[in-house]
Amino acid sequence: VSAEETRSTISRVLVELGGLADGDEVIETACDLAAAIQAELYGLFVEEESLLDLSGLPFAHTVLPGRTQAQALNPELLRQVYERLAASSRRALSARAHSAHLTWSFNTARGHGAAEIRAKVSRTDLVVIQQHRFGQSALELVVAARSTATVARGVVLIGRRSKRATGPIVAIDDGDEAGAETVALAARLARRHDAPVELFVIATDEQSARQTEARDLALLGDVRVAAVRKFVDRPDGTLEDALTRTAPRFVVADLDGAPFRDDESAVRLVRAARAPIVLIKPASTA
Amino acid sequence: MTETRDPADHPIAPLDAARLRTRCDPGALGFASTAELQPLEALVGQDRALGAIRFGASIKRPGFNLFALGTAGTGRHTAIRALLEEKAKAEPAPDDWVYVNNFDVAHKPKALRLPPGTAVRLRDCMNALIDDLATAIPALFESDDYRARRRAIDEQAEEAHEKAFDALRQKAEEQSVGILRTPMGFALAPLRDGQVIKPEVFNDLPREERAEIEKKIAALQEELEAVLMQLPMIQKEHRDRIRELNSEFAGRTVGLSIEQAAREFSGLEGVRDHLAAVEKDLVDNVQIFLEQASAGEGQPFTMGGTSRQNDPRFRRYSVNVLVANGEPGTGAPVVFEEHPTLANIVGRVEHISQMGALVTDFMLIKAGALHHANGGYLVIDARRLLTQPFSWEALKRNLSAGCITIASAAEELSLITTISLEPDPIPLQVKVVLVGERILYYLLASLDPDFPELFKVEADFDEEIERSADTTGLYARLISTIAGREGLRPLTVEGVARVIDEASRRAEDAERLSLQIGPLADLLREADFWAGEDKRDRITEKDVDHAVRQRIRRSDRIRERSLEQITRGNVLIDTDGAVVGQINGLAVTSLGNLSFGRPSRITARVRMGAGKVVDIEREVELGGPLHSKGVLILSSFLSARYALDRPMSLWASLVFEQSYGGVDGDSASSAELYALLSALAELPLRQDLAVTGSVNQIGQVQAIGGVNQKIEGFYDVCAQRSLTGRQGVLIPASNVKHLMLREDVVEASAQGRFHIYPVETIDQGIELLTGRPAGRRGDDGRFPEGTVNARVEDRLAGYAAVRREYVARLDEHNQDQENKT
Repeated sequence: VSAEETRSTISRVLVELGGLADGDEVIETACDLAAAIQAELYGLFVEEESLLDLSGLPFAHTVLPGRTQAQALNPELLRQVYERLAASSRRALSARAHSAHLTWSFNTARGHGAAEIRAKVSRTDLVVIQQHRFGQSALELVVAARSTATVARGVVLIGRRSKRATGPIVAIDDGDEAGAETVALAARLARRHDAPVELFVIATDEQSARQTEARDLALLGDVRVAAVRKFVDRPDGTLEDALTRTAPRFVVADLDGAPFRDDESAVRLVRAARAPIVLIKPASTA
Repeated sequence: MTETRDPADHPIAPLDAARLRTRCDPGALGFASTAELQPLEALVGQDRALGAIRFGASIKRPGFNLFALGTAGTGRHTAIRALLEEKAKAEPAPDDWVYVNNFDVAHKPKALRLPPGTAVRLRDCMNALIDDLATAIPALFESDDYRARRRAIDEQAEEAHEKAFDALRQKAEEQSVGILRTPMGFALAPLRDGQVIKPEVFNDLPREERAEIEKKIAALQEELEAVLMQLPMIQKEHRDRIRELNSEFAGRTVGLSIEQAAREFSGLEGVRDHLAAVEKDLVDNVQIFLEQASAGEGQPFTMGGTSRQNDPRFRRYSVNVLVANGEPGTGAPVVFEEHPTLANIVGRVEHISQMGALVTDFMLIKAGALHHANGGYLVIDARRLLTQPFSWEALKRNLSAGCITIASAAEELSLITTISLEPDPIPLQVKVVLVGERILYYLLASLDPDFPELFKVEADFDEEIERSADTTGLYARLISTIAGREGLRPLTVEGVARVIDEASRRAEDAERLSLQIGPLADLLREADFWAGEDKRDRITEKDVDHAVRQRIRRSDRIRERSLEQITRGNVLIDTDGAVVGQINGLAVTSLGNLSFGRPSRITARVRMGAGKVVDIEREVELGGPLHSKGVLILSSFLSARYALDRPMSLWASLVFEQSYGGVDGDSASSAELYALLSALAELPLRQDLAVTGSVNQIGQVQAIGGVNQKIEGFYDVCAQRSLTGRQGVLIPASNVKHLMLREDVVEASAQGRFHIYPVETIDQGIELLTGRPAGRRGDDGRFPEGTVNARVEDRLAGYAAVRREYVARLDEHNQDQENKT
């Protein structure tokens, strides 16, 4: 699986901008990814219809974290907030895209967030989803990712504790077809950021691990490899610990791969990574 | 009776040529070349000063600092350096001093006193400790043990967070209420079929149902507010637990490292306390090591040891070595501060620019000369010290207080507003040696009340030494020592003798030798140069002589112009004949390195008056106070000697002709008196003689300065016009011992072409100048007729009679006027 192939199967990076996320970080991450795989950048600002309905009710209030007094909510206030956020999101997206020489577009939609994303997303899209600062658990994030991934090529999860690091690009490969695509995408990101790749090989036995490693090294070509870590019959927590120690810039993995196969493992990885996690599906299933 | 006397018969004989210049006899020196001489270990003729320095350096009491006073070039610095360095070598090296961060009050850095040789070790130890921790702490935090506990804390916090929210969400869902995220926060919305009830649907609901929904929402909103209020607390608790965990882990490693360091510096209480403070701070701020470790990741070059010390996060653990002593064999420090600015004396706190602001910390404290000399000796040039703003006051303040307090000029003037430090004062025990001219010492002693308290020992360096056989021998060794030290050629014995003669000339005294080492060394250097030019391997008499003449030649332009003005007749000076009321006085002009004498015409005019001698120089403010004093003395002499029974009825004026600059000194007072006597006696004065010497009220001629230059000045004028054999100079007899005249003058004297007359009294002088006896008052109370004094007295008596007559006529006239009225 060549980098060219990976690029051809991801044509667009779609970032949801609903005013609920930390716009700057999510846009920056989306931009980095789009630049790495030379994809188009698409920002979708969703005005949540449920909220608009709620704001018309006489008792509508919004409660702010850390504040003792709730704030009355009305349609006019919400409209103003949405307008302001949409304009600032557009500006941020265009500025980033311009500096990265990316083709970009921006749309505003009104509806239900997830439904609107699903409506706009295509099979070759990579969708960037950010965990909300309050009130959204890592599990909810994983569930949302799985739901979105059903209609997209992959998702990028930005966890609550994700921060901009300067470490390596971690590629998690469990040896299957999607694992190879994972490594190819990691190579693209490494070149883009002039960062090394740290390879996490998951296998059931040593031989498989060696084979996977050999394949990955071939795929990485001239990309600098900082380390190769093999997880054979890994006990719980070892992969998460390794991720925490590495402090990666990006984690790239296969959505259907071993570490994300069950929700519990996926949640642990989201918490441990502290970096955007790019989860892609095999091209054959996309 | 008129008594006349031929000048050739005058009772004062000219000096024998041998007395005009005292020559050092090379044969008496007892060596052929200075290569044979042992170098001197101490200065010649400075026993008093050297004794004072030894005393001052040895006495360990407050205020017994030294002031070495004397003329520049007398070897003060060399002697002080030699004595102090020798003494200091035998003394123990003083303690080291470092500044360390004050973890309680950052702007007041702590000073630590350490045994000599310990400061650098402590600094290196702390650097190594931080380097070790920078590796060990991140590794510790990578351990499985730490990770597991950290993960547990993270998960607990996250679970607590999610659990509280999930419980509320579940409760809300049970009541058909949803929790929605808004751009600002959270909101509670009534649901129907999983969707928010639209406003129009809600409005169509029965009133009771609407009220019920509102009630549920209100209750849940309160709970939501409570949950959201918990979040910051959960986060804070999480942070606290992480900090505790970090401290626990860091404490183990930090404690171990600090313990090792403490063992190395056991017995040093200050270090122990500092290490304890460092340990506490390290444990509290362990995250800086983790930040530093993560910042280094992915970088092409990891942070090296040096840059870590410069990292602001780690600087507070560094040690600022202010003074490090203890190099083997160094002993106590002897510091010569050549540029005694305030900062160089007491140290300074430097600032660096950071984000446009000036900031500082304890590492930017720089030592001053007092720090470096603490426990030893500090030598400063007094003039330089006094000309630097605030330096003198700061030095006194620190000496008085017995401790070094750093203060900048800006702080002294209250100009600084940026952040600065108040470092701990450092106890001061230093011996300060000021080196300066006498005038500075006496001015300080009289004008600065602190000075006598702080500088109790004066080391007075002589400018001259008596010229004797012993001292001449020592002087020869001094010459040899300087030549050796300067890497010059050895001198022949004749060369040494010539240098010794020049030393007498510089001292302006045939019986003394100049102790000004600087000019002496310059003369030797120049003579060595000329010896080299002539390809000689020894410095000979000829080279020394050449060096002397060349030096004069280089600075002789003004003298030549001055002489030219006389020989061309622009400045009127007669060198033969005789004139009434006119005499050749002699003056010395000093310009740079050169002093030369030149004649100056002095004239006197007299008439009847009220007993006043007018000093024209003073009237036009060209005469200095000493000159005026001389004129008043000669007036007094006239009043006391002549016309004792009559009022002094003289008006006289005295002037230095063609003098357009200032005149000072009383060395011309005898010449002025001769001119005045000549004018009164109406006897002409010889113009082939020039006169110098001051006079007292009883008519004795007294010694003056610059006698050699004055004689040579008149000689040069006469020689230019060709010597007649009658020309010469009258000098005070007491100046004969100062004669060190040029060889050409001595030679002319030996040939009888120029004469030097030693004069003790005005009478001797006037006889020489007029060729008439002065006359001594006889038993009848009168001077012999025809003598100078008799003529003077007669003239004054005449003035008195005329005046009396005039006054009587005036009274008569006034009486007539009154009667008429």
